[in-house]
Amino acid sequence: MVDVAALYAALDAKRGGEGLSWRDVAGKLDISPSTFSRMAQGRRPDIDAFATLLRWLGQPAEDFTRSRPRLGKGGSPVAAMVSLHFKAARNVREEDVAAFEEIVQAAARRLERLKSR
Amino acid sequence: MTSQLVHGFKTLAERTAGSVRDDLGLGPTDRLDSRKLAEYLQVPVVSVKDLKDDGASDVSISRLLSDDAAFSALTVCAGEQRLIVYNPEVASTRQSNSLAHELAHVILEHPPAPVAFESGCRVWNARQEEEADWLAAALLVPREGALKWLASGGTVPTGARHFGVSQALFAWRMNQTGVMYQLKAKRRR
Repeated sequence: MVDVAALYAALDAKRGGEGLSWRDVAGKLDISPSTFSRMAQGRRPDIDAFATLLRWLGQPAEDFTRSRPRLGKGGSPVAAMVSLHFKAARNVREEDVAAFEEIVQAAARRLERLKSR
Repeated sequence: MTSQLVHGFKTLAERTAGSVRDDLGLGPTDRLDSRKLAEYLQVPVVSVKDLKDDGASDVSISRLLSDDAAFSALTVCAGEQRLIVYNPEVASTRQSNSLAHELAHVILEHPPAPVAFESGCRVWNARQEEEADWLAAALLVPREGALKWLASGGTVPTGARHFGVSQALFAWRMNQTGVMYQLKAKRRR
């Protein structure tokens, strides 16, 4: 999957170095300016935009892909989540992601503790 | 939303729920305690508040407990081992349903999906979730039990209270299982 944060950081560095605004970059590369605002929120660019951005950066896709979802710091590789049950909405809100990740990590630690008993 | 259930699943769910309830020694009109089901399945259950000892911060716990997060329950897995984390601050009927939903995944042997909160959205296996919803409801309100309840003069509000579920869930079961239709047909005869 695309490591959006790393990609966004690389783009931001190049943009800053060239003294361009995000809108300038979008115009120069002929992609939608909303691509960048969406990326800032953690959304992946579409495949065409991704290819264009890589060309502009002069970097291979491998620099910005990771083979497995990140579990966060100190993540246990065996831990996985089977399900999340919600009261209403079926998505995790962007602002709650870090909290959910932390809780899943804590739960994974608790599970390891229970297993070793 | 279009149903993702495969043909025959609903019948399978009713049958599975019936045999699990039998194992717990419950008759069709007995209330199923989701905690007891968890114990029976050997799945530990902890409140999200109890994860402080394992490194969960107060900030993250409060965030998950807030109404806006809409969090009810989640399951983590390590190999075959599972642990359910629930929100203790939602209504007891909701807790019970969420727990039953998570346990339904265990009963149905749904393979765990990797943790992925990518872009603020979780991996969503619509079919598995719908299957778990269906089985959880069948466990809590068995078709036969609902039918008996209504046939003996019970109502949706009293039935919901009796089975320990929300009125919405009880009413949904009435509609989905055709119990209402069956009763009306019986009364017309």
